[in-house]
Amino acid sequence: MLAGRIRRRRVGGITDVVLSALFDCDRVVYRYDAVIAVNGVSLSVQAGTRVALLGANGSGKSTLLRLLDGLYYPDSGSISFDGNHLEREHLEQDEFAFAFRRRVGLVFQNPDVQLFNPTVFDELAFGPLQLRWERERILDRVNETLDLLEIGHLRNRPPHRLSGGEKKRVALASVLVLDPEVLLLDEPTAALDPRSQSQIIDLLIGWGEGNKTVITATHDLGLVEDIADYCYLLQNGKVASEGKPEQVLCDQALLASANLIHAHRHYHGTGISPHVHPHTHPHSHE
Amino acid sequence: MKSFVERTLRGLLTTAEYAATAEQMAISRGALQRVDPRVKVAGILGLIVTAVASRRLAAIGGLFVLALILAMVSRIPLGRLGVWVWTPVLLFTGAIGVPAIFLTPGRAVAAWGGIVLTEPGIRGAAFLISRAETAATLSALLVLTTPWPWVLKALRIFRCPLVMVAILGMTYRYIFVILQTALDMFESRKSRTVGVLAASERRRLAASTAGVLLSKSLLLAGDVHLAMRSRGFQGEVYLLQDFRAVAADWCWLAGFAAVVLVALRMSF
Repeated sequence: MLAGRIRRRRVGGITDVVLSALFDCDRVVYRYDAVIAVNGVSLSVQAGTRVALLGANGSGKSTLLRLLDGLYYPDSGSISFDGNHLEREHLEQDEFAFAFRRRVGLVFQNPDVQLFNPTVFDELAFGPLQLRWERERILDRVNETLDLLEIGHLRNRPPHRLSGGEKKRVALASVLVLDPEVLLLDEPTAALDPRSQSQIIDLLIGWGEGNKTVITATHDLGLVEDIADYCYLLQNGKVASEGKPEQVLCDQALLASANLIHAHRHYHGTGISPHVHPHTHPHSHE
Repeated sequence: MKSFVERTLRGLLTTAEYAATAEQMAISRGALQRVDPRVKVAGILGLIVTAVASRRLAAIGGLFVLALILAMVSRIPLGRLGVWVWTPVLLFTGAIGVPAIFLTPGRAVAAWGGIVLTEPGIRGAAFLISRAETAATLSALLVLTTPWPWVLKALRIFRCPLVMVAILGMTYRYIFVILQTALDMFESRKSRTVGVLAASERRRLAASTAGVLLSKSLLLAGDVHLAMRSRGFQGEVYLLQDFRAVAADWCWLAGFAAVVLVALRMSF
């Protein structure tokens, strides 16, 4: 079973109880054939924190999330969750896999890969059924989650007939129904209209009354301060920088080198004026 | 003459429209739509087996008429059945059955020149076509009056192998994703195409589209498997069975059983 590691440290005659990191990555390397997607990443995530993995397309964010979810295994280095190494032989054991899957949920970037059931209701029931919950508990929990995400009216619809925003909400609901302690999100607002984006962000901010661990991979800098207490900036599969959002977002040169912001030009009155900022939220130019 | 790209686009759109219409019929408020899916699967399967096993044309004809009545009370337009079911089945079975009319040895019924129509030939063709049309009409009734997920659940209740049910369900679901991808690809191609493509160019386009779609579907299949594992899938699929049969469903089941018994009695 997964059990948290507790360290005790004695400072000035007082014993503190310090919980170890929930996720601990140590020099993780992962390759797709000849292409190195994650190249020596070390990071740790404490329970109850909200972390953003920032990076441009192809920087290794999605791969890192899949590694954290135990779907891929590092070629070298190690990943541990709550003091237990995430290794193939562990995740092939029912007891360990059930405990891990109950505690960690991943929402994929493309909802189409996540919506494989015939109806929205079945989609939400899939996870609890795999974890062998009792029927009544499944029905209650699915109905609660449908209400939480305001998608009750879609319950009997086939997922492939939904709009992009609806699919994203159903994909999120299919993971939230398990009430995981850790939520891994891959570009949760990608390709959504502003209203759907805002609904998902509001939901994530309020989810679990802020006590859950949320790791979000995104290149949308406009979201970061709302969804993260701490950021890792990934570039070419490596951690290029880390820190609090306000620190990382202030480093314009670093953001530009990571392709997260770019210089561009607009007409201003009668002339053209160059600017540098991310194109992630509505703004206007005079 | 329409270009290859436009014809392909029209074909893809027709397929999507067909699926949308079928799904709409399945949730409309007709007679069969109200019946418990388990009763429908068992009853219609019984009728199909009886139609296929029957040795009397009158019994098969009776089952076909019953299928027509069920279609009408279930608000399924007979014109649609004609286009979707009867014509393709007639063409397919006709291609096999019609030559038998002339080739099967037996008592001659009519002759023109050297061509002879034999009684066993006509009987054989009539059995083949009527059985196929009746069975296909009944199958169409099942899928047009029952949402596909419920059909799958009902099959599972009848101990249909889990792997088969899971594959059927996912195939149906991802056909639409692949269809949409193909549609996007052809629309994108159309937006950059002027005039009619040469035959060689059409072949090249069809081959490259098939290759790209295959590659995308492989990628999709890999990601879907990861998404399933991420939510606890370990190789076994579990389903929530929430059907509830009421008195009317038992009446339907009794009705199906009575028809099967009468048809079998007529046949043997």
